[in-house]
Amino acid sequence: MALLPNPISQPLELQNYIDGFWEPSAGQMRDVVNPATLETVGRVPLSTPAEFDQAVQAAKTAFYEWRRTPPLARARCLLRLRDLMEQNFEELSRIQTVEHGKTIDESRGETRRGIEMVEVAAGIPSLMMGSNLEDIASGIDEFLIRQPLGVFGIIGPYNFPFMVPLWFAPFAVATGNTIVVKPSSEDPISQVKIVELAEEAGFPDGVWNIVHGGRDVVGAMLDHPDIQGVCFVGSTPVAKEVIYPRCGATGKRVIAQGGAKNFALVMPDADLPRTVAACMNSFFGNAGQRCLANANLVVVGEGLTPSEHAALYDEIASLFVQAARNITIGNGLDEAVQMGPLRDPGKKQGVAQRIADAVAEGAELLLDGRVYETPVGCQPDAFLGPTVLGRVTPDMAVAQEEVFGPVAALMSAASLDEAIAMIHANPFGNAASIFTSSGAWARKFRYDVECGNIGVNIGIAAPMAFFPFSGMKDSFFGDLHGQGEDVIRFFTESKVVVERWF
Amino acid sequence: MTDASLTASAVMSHLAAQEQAAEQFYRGLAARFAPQQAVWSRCAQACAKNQVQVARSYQETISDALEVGYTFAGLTLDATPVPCADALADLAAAVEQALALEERAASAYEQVAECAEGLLATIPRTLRRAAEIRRRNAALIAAL
Repeated sequence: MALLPNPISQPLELQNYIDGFWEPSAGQMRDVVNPATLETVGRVPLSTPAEFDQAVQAAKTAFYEWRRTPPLARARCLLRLRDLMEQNFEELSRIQTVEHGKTIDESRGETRRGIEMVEVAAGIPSLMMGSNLEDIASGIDEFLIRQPLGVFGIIGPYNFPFMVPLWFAPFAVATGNTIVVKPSSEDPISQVKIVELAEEAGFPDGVWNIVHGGRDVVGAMLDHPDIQGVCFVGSTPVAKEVIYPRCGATGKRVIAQGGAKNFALVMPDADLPRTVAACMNSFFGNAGQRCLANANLVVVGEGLTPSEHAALYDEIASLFVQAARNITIGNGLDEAVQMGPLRDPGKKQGVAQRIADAVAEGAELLLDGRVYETPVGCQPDAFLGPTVLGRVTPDMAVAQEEVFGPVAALMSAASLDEAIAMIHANPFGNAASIFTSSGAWARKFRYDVECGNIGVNIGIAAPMAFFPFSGMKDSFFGDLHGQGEDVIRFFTESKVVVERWF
Repeated sequence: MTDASLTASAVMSHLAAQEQAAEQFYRGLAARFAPQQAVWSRCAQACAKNQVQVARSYQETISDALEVGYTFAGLTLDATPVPCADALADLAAAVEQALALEERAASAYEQVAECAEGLLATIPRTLRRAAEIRRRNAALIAAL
């Protein structure tokens, strides 16, 4: 099919957005490259700590008036932003495809999810409401009031450049805080577009700021005394060893979401065609660059003889490979394409190395994504086809470590208990799925598994905006999660008033 | 359009394009055959409404979690071009072409709805409703 029109006709020179104005940075510029074509679509500055401080000072000043703005008036800004996002739905989606490489369907899904965050945050007059109780002692009443804290920092990842910062930003400003967003320097254009729309929606100057950059900006954010809290989504090493401890050391609130290694269990009574269809999206959607992507598929032989279990494994492996082989890779602006490239050639090389290592460890290479025809009109450097590894055992690195690419590891467990033990032996705890027709097995799984997001006959257990995006173990560092009621509590202080009148 | 792995967005784009062409066709017929203008205009309105409803329900249910990458394996979409109103000889030819168009459109919606059972229920429901609307068009046209 023909490519959809590219919304970026020439490379964009990105600037910071500070106190309601677009400001050039003194920092070095870095190219933003479309991984499908290797064309430069923008240039982003690596801003300086001084520029970050300038944004924080603007946000701090704006906070005074913004927190005094009635919640309903703040909600109206969000509702206007929501309308503008709807009007620009297609452009926002195509930008994500161009700057990240994902398919247009994936981008539209991401846009929709982002808009849902804004819609839910617009309910702030109800969400932020406190509580009270009369006569906690005779003639004495007590109130709980939720108050905003000040300036928050938001650090976005490259895999969902549009949606992830919106897990936090609309809720932060809805509760009366002000923000400085640092988008991923690999694909920052979506966030620039969001701020352009936020400006049009009428957010006052200084409420919603953007400072582009890399480690220097992150460091400045973590150490800045006027930043009240940090929301981060990225890798586990950074979440665990940098973001979480440094926020602790400087007394900041923190949501630090890290990596994942998610398991999908297929029980003997699962609806196999629908399970395999759901797995294609789960394992290979967004080219596997998703913290909710399943990576290990475990065929569970509960109640089966060893030979029946082996036959079930073979059947599932055959269906899985057949479906994966049919996935079309190419430029995401082609609506017929089902999987785009990885974010950049370096990431592709890293994933390819993991495949080679897994084979060296004894995994069976059922489908080799390193072998493919270069899609028409594309550069091959960042592409990788779906890869399926069979006979993977829990001790192999590919079963334990996050690959963050389109690689599926097929495994076996004799019982549900053994499969759950595999999940628990893994350091991550982001998500896990079970495919079954048995309510009892599903309940046991839901009850026992130590993961934050559980899917029952769902490949990707992505919580909606009104539920927290959970996570456990090495997948999450902090106390309260993004989205839902958790994030409202994260962005507010609980003040209690005990009142008696003489 | 035939393909072993039509994506959801490709199918929805195709349906939207077909509705847009059908709407133009009926607007053309309304301009040409004034005595039957009410019927042709009503058909054009129905096509415009379908276009909005199908696009909206798709956009409002598509998400990174549930439906992205969904493919309609084995689906065949009819790519017969929508006729041009000006090229038709008389009212009888217009009715004949319009009935054939409505049959193709309704069948296409029903076929896609059947293939879309694995999607959120909103999608097949909207597609069936769109088919129903096109069959109502056909009934109006047949009564001319």
